[in-house]
Amino acid sequence: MSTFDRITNNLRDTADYLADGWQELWSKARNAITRFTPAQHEDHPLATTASRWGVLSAELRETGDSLEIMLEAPGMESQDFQISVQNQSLHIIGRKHLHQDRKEGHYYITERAYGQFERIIPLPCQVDSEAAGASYKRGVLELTLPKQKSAQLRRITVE
Amino acid sequence: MNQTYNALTELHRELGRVFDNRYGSAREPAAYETSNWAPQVDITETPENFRVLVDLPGVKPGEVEVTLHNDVLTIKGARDHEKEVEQENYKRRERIRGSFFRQFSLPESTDSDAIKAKTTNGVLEITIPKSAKPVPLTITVAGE
Repeated sequence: MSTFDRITNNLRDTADYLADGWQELWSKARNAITRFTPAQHEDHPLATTASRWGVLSAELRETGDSLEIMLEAPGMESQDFQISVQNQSLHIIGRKHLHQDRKEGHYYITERAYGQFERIIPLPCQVDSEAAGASYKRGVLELTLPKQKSAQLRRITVE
Repeated sequence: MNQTYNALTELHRELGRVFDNRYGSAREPAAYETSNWAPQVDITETPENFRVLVDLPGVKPGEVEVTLHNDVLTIKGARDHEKEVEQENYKRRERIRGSFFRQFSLPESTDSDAIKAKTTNGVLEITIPKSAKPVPLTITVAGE
């Protein structure tokens, strides 16, 4: 193999490696990375220095008659969420507050994001949003959305 | 020509290292590389103590281990190992299960006996008081 061939091969391997790595990262993290808009006029050292991107991982599971959605959003209270269903997609708006009692001191590492965020999760079927249930526990928001009658799994008994 | 080839090999190796080692830091201990995910943290220092906030959504208090040894703070644990069931019903799956690990070296001596940790809404809060400042020792050099 000539040196030129080796260089060509090496370049191609490098490009493939980059593409694979990026693809993997992209497919895993793309949807979970969420933009945070900091609250205006916030008098807190973190208001300007905190990360503007948070990782809010979601999960959607389909059962026979409902959809179960989980969203990781640590450090919030249940009243900080505003949840709605529009056009067969779930909209979650949240507001993560800066704690005023944590103003003092020098920040060494600030990786956690604060402010307002919005996540839109497409739903695989029509849901009955009136009968939806939600809870917030250990930093995870859990929603149960019953499917509309027409979308429910119907079992037909053969006589 | 050989130099170009070597440079390319090096680049290839370097890219491999960055992508294999998900967090790309060569200075972290081996446990970091074998963990599945790394939680985000905020670290603050006040005159009296260090405060560390760690995002650990879905982690039960018994699933996390906090240790302080020689001013090195280690946070590790695992979550949801038992929940790996019914794979086929998932339409979307972004959460990472399994082990997590973070380690920090604190810049000042701390009082490891007085460390406090609690979890609220998926956030672990660790408060580490600083130990009393050692009095500077003056050594007089004796003449001949």
